[in-house]
Order: sequence, then C-alpha cells, then structure tokens
Amino acid sequence: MNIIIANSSPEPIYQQIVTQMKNLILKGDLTEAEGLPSIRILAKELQISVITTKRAYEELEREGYIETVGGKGSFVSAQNKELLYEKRLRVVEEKVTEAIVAARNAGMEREELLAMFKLLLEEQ
Amino acid sequence: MLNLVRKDLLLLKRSLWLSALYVLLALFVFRTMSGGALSAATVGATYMLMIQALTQDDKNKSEIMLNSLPLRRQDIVLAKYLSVFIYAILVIIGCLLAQSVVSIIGIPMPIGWISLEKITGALVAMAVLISIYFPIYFKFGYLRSRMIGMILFLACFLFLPMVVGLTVQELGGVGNPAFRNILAMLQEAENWLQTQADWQIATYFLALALILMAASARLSLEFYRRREF
Amino acid sequence: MVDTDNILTVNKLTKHFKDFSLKNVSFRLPRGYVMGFIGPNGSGKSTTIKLILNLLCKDSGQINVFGLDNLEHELAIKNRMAFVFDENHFYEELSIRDMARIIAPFYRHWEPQTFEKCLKDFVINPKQKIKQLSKGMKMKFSLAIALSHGAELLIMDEPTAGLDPMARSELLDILATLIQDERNSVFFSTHITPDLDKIADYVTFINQGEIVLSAPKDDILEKYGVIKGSCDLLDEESKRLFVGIKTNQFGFEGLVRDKEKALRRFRGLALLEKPSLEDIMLYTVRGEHHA
Repeated sequence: MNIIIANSSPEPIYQQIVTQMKNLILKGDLTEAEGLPSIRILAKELQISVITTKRAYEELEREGYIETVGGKGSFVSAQNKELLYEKRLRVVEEKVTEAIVAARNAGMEREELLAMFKLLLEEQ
Repeated sequence: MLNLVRKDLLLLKRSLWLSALYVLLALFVFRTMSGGALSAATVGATYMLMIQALTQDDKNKSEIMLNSLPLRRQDIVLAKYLSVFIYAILVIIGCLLAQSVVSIIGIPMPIGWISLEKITGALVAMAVLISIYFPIYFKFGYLRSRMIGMILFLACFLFLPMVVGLTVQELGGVGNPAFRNILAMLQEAENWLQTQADWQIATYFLALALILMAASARLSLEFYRRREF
Repeated sequence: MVDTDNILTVNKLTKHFKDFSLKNVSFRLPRGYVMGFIGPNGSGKSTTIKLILNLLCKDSGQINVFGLDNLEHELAIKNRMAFVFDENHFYEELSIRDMARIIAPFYRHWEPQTFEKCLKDFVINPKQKIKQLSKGMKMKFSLAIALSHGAELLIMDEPTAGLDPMARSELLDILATLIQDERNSVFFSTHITPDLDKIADYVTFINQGEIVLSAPKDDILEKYGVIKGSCDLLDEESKRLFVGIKTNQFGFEGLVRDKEKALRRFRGLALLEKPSLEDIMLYTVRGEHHA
C-alpha cells in the first residue's frame, strides 16, 4: 500500500490521503475486510499529525469506504459488488472525460481521437 | 530526602579524597597547637565539602532539574542540612582512621589526637556556621550567598573589632561603668560554667546549636518555598 | 473542575515580572495529541513552561495537569510527566549511569529494563560522562528518562535548539513512537522548526505574553493564506483583510486570516499560497509592531 504526501500541493494533506485511499480501494489494492493501519501508525509513518490522519479516516468512513470497529481498528467496508463496479465505471468515465478534454484542447478531431482509442485498445 | 544526600555524596566522590588528604595534613600541621585548631580543621574540611556540593548544583543550574523531579522543595532544604552532618561524620571518621593507622603501624609521624571534646566543638561550630549560611543560600542562591558570606566574614574579623575598639574609646575606655558591668556578667557566667561538668557544658552548647539550627531550617524552608528559577 | 479529556489545561495564567508580563494565558491540550507552543524569543514560552512545572510562582490563574491542580498535586503529577529543557541541567561530571542512579529513586514507576533498552536504542554509552555528550545525545538521555518512568505527558522547552537535522529527525521519530500510545501527549515550545511542526496536532501561538491563537494546526493552515500580487491591488479596504503585508518594488506578499474571503476579492488577480506556521508567526509579530 502506497500513500505519497506532497507537502507543496495546495490540496490539504488529509484530502490527499482520502483520494489515494479511495483509489486503492477502487482498484482493489485494498480489499474487503483488510485491516488498515491505525491512525497513529499512519501518522508516524507519514510524519504528519494524528489529527490529520484521523480526519482522513473519518472522511472515508462517512463516504462508506471504510469501517471502524472499536478496539479492532479500521477495515475496508464490505461493499456491494455492483456498487463497487459502478464506482469503478465512474472512475473510467472520469478518465475518459479527461482524455476527451485534453484532446479537445489539443484541437484533435472526433475521428482522430476514436482512431487513437482503437489503436491503443488493440495494442493492449 | 536520603536520595538527595546520596546524590551529593556521588557528586563529591573526587572531593572526598582531596579532603582526606587535607585532614591528614591538618592533623600533622596542627599537632602541637592547643585548643580549637583541630576542631577548626574539621570544620574547614566539612565546609569545603558542603561548598563543593553547592558548586555542583550551581554549575549546571541543576536545581531546575531537581525541582522538576517528583520531590518536595522541603526535602531539598532538609537534605542540605542533613548532608553537612554526614560530611562532618565522614571527616571525623577519616581523622580517627588516620590516627589508628598511624598508631598501629607505628609510623613515626607525630599527629594530633582528636578528642570527644574537639568533635563536639567542631559539630557545634559547624551547626552555627550553616545556620547562618543556609538561609542566605536558599534565599539568594549560590552566587550571591557566597558574596554575602564573604562580606559577613570580613565584617566579623575586620570591621567589628575596629568598630568595637572605636566605641570603647569613645565611651572613655574600659573604665566606663557599662563595660565593667558587662565584664562582671561574663565573669559570673564563667564562674557558673565552672561549677558544671564537662558533659553538661557540652549538652548546653549542643542544645543551643540545635535550637539555632531549627530556627534556621524554618527560615530556609520558607525562603526556598518561594524561590523562583 | 476535573476534565479527563484534556491532559493539560492552562486557564487565565498571569505572571508579572519587572520588564515582562504573561497575561491571561489560556489553552488546552487534549490527551493523545501533540501541541507546538510557538512564538518569538522572549514571548513567554519558557515562563509558561516553568509555571507548569512550578519553577516559578504564578500571580493568578489555574494550571491543571491530568485534570489535577499543578500545585496541590505536584508530586503525583510530576511522577507521571517528563521534561526536556533547552539546556543541560544534569550534573556534567557524572556518568550517564550515575545520573540515572540519582534520578531513578524519585520516580514511583521507574523501569530499569526500559531504561537499558532506551540506552541501547539511542546508542548511548552509560559509562560516558554527561559533559562528553553532544547536544543531541543529552536530549536523547532526557528522553530515555522520560520513557523509563512511563510519563504520559512530555514537556519540552525548545528541544530542537542547537540540534543538527539528523538529531531533529531522530527526535521526531521518538516522539511519534511515544504517541503511538493514545494516552500520551507531548507539549513542546519552539521558535519554529518545520520538521517538528509536521507532527503537531495543535498549535498555540504566543506573542508578548499573550496568546494569539490556539487551535488544531490543520484548521489554522486551512483558514490562513498567503496572497501575492502587484501593489496596485492594495487599497485601504483590501488592506484590512491582511494580518500583515510586505511590499517590495515588484509587488506585495501578505498573510490573510480568512482565505475564502480574500479569494473572493482577488480571484484571478493574485496568487494564493498555503502558509507555513512560520509565515503566520512572522506576519503576526510584524503586523502588531506596525500597528
């Protein structure tokens, strides 16, 4: 499990943790029922304050990504497969949209973009 | 409190050897002198150790550290009073040991003999000395207390005799009736003491010293309670 | 008033000296967290710490440690807390071993094995004399003592003063380990060392004997902002948004207390940056001097 904190980023540190943990969960790197590091260990390892990691975990909990069991620590929530799939779809959607925006900014034509997409798909 | 006494002894490890040498030297030098010379030497060695311990506390401002530990300020004060008598006892034991060694082995080194009388004298003198010094120390701290001590010393041995001498002259010499009265009173006191046994005299002095020291300790406790670091 | 959630509560603490006064200082440190106590030299940090340790007598106000009055329960409190000073106050002539021998009996819960382990972990030779130790080593020795009597509250006065970056990083590691136990808390004063500020949960900022702010660090850093732009953006009204402004020939740089408000005014016209605690301290101190 990798979490990289950028001190120079304008994004608050707790937000960086939330985003990266979400990605890890959606990608399946962090699986259901897998124990997460405690907020204190995470704070120690990342050399940040405990309040920051606590806030990140609270945020993840609120959005249903993780669950905290008193005395046992935090775990990735057991989630509905379809829901998880939908969430993943949304991530793909986001990335494709990003690509479209980038293409438009570069002045690419619709056909050009589709061709590139097909080419890349076949190369995989 | 005993921990604090032990602490001072640990700090004095090296000084203890020095004072042993000093005592031996004093026994040799003062062997022929009569009266309080040997007592004075004992007091000197004890005083040296006491000042050494205070210097150690002062050098690193260790009182800040001590007062941050879980201990009472009163323990610090009482430990200082107690430790002085431990030094005195150590010095006296040192003297006795030196004497025994010399007499048993038969080293042809003439040394003075310390008697019970002299020991009592030394203890009383030490008690008076610290009763005056410690309240000043606990009120003003090490540096200023040493300065005040110096001034007091000079006052006692230089200015006081001068002032007394001048006053006597002013009042028309020793022929003045006031002086005759004082002298008569002193004479009376001496006569009374003559009627008492040695052990009784020793007890009186010890009792006086103890009362003085109790008052001094009370004062020190009060001063140190309000000390700021 | 007993509050068990706060490990350290200072309330309206006041102390007057001839040339300096600590005025109505109040803050609280919740159990389990780290508080950085920042401010320029002579702002009252050491005075506050000495008052907590009863090395100075307060004029008025209240100090509670573990929910207990710091004077009434002085011994009980000091048994459960530890201190690190900016200077060495141990006896320089003594060896580590002897110094520990002196200190250990005063603590009710001294653990010799823990102390031995700390010496080994921190690579301290117990036979060495204290005067031979480097500044960082002396600090680690203090910490070894702190860890060996199960201190729940660690109070440090300028612990990083004069430490090299290596020693600072080690200190950071030791502190982070200490607060793995959520009952433990750390309170340290500093005139800003970015590495140590990283792990601070709360920040209390003191200036000229008065508390400027005391809040979770993340809240402070999120609310404040540094704005940079050209000087013609500044008029009387917009200047009021700033805590302090520094101008030069080519533009201005200033600290705002309310980032959102400033953003509404300057959006697209000026640059907004994340502030550091140092920024907040410098602008506040300087701003007050200007006023």
